[in-house]
Amino acid sequence: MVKTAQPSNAETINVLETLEARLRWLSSWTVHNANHIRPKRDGLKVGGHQASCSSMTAIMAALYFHALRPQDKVAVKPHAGPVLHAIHYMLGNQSRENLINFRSLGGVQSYPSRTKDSIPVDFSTGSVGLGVAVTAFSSLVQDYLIAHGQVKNEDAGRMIALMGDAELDEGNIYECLIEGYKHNIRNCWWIVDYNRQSLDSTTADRMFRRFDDIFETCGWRVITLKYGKLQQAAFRKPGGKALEEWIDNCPNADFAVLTYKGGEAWRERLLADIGGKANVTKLIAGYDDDQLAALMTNLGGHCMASLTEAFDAADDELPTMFIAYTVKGFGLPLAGHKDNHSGMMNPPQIHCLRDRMGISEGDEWEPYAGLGDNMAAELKAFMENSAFARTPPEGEAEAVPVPARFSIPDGDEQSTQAAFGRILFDLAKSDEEIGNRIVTTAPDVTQTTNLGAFVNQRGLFRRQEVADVFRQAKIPSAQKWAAHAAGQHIELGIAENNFFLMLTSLGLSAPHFGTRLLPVGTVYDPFIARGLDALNYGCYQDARFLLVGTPSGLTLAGEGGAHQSINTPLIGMGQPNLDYFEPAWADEVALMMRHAFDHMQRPDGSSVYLRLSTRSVPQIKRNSDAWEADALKGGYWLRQPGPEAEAAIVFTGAIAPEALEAWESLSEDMPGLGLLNVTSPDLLHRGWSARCACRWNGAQTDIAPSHAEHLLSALAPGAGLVTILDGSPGALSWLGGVKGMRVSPLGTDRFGQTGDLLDLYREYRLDAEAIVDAAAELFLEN
Amino acid sequence: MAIELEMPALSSTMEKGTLAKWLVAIGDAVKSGDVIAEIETDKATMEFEAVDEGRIASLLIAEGTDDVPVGTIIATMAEDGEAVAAVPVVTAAKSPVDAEAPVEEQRRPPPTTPEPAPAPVADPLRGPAIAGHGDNRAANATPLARRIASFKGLSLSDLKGSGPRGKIVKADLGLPSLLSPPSTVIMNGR
Repeated sequence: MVKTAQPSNAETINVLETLEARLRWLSSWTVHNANHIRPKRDGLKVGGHQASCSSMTAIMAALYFHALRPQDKVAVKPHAGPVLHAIHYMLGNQSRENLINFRSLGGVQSYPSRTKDSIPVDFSTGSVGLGVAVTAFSSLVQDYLIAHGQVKNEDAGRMIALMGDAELDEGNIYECLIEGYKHNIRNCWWIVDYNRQSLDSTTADRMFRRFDDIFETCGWRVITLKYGKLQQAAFRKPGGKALEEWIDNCPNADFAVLTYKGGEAWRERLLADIGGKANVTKLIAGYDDDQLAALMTNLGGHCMASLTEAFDAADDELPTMFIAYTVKGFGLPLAGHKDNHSGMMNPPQIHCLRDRMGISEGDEWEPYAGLGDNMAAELKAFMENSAFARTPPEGEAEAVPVPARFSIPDGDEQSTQAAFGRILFDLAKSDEEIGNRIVTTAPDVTQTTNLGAFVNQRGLFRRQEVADVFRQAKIPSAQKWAAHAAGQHIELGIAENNFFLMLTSLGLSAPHFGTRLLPVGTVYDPFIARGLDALNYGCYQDARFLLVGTPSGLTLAGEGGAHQSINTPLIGMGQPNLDYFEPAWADEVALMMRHAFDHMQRPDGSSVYLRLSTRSVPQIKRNSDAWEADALKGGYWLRQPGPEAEAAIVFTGAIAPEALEAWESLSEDMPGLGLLNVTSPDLLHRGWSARCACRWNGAQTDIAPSHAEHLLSALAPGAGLVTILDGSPGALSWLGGVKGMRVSPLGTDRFGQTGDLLDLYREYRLDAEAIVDAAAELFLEN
Repeated sequence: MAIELEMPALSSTMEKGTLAKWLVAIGDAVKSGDVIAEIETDKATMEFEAVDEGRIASLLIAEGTDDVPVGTIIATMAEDGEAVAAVPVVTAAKSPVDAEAPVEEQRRPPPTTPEPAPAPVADPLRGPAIAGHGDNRAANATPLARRIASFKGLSLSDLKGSGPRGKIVKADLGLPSLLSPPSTVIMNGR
């Protein structure tokens, strides 16, 4: 039930309004300084969004200093980043130097960044729509942690997105709404900065009623803040009804033009349109030009009393969307102008604003300049006493112990995917703490990616218990899918954006909630691309998870070209904060999974991506564990090359049997032929790049050779390489450049098609025959 | 009357599965809901739960047996009070695939093995067809030597092979090694 809020007292409103004006000024000045004062060396525009900041300053003042509690977390609309920094600057958490260096190296980032900004940032934002949706998934993670006893129910915070109205055009918002409804999310607010200037009027208004419908259908409460208190008061006066109707019917473009032109224009237009009625004329005559302009732009999103009341009224756990009508550029000379999105105040305009604020030239960076001592002290005390100011810094979460070794699944023939499922199953059955902290998720591919055994053991997570109806009816099924609060698998629909946002939120559990989860997400490898921006978004804010792309490559033979992944090895190599491994055998899977659970908990660690296969291959006999250390560095010699070796075969992943077969055949011709198993093209290349750079970037001049250099130094100069993987050949062919070796690369670089594996390996030149061809190729130019 | 436990159908399409692991031993008391065994299919590892109560009388299928058809009796359970005969594991007449064969021999590769054995590498019909000496195909040579000879226009018929049983290997082609000779750096002064 919505509680009836007490009206906020006038003094608080007054302080909040004062604060709001400071935020508008400081955010404007930050952008102005970067663009007009700081010397430009490259002749490029620096950029920044003064109008987008000022449309949100009232919302943010009311949210941060009235509604926010220490346990709440906020994703701030990217373009309003400078407002967040202004808030922290006024609280003393942000330095003037960093504001001066807005958008410059080491300074304030253009959009709030968890990893690059010095202030506390709950969620990075930047890619439109993702920063909004992630809050819904984080509210789900919070519920998961509460259900598992890792967070107390009374410590539940609200996950809040401050969003631009354009973000409602992003498909991922609706994917998220559907998933959120299925999971019955709570404690989530989305606050829309509804700025009408940027949208086509009729369409926008028509759509906005639909937005209400969509959100309400999905279980959200929608609170619309259209009219501010000044307007509401005016509407109650004689003639007010006509004024209200006029505002409702005013085309957005006209409203914007009048906003830009100001009080005199408003008066002229209003009198022309509805001035025929005496009480209207009288009503309008009661306002001077400035007052009339203030009245007409007194929309809900700029009215502090309306905002605080709305936030107070939503003080429960129902997911809530606030549609706050705003004027883009509110309070600036740019207000309402259609070009104001990336437009900036010119120096005379901002000087005019400065003078209006009572700020002396030279005092622009003073947080409380022009306020007078009493007001400055009151504002300072008000901010310091706010609940938000007591937000504790993110803490270190205790690490979850990882067993020294994971047991290796039995079986002479196994696929890496089956081994992955088996290892998770063993962890599910173990009573080690790690088994309790693993949480799995998949976009509707739980069974087909071998998560089934884990899920059968640990159950689906639901806040409300859901019985397994099939089981109750005694219908045989391999899936025992009872859902309950202790479950450890979060079932998602087949939407990869949601999947990666889920992993992002789960992977931020440690910094957000001070308690660790070890998230494992599985997805068909080719469909990583389907959610790639969300994956990048999660990595950008350093969320930690284990991503499993499976099945991959041509081994998904029967599914045809659309399901066979080609370039995911390159994605794995190119994606920062994500280490890519591709094992060939079950013991490598065990090694890499153990490493992943350890690595994702380390401060200098990262997320890990395993590219797996359903192809069952004969397992290899090991004489010792000596290969393991090198395998975790990116590669090891399966057959150490002899000193006379003219070449080596270099392979990655499930193509191992072909590499071994060709190695046997070619060894007759090339004594000492090497066989190199590259377990991570990603780590090999990163290490090599780092070594090349370190000589020059002053970090270290005497660094040991990279692992790629170390491995390849086992070959004599001039030796050739045949490289092969079920994926883009470029993931391995670069190895020839490390020591200047001739390379004969194999791999897939065109779309696959249906067929059995034998045909496809032949067609795409991934069989042992092709390796022999490629070896011959090395000698043809000699 | 002994209760016969059959290989369960874990899904409507399952016809056989692997009995991965016994979690009970002969003589163990079992009650409804106890996990008796782990059954594997290609997609998941499942736990097989008892629905009746009793004592395990016999285990008829060895751990690790692949392709046990659904419905095969895999164990028997004695009801309360019934004597548990010492039945040796896996010798019962109703053993799954072939009652006569010892269990070890019943293990067969799963029928879902993704592909048949790859074709042998020394496939004379495979490889470059251009610029080749027709007689090279018949020569006793390694696949690599044959390929290189074909592309370089070398006849293998005149060569004596140094490999096993006179097989021609790459070294017999007399090509220069890929390995760099010791380099001599010449610095030209100006």
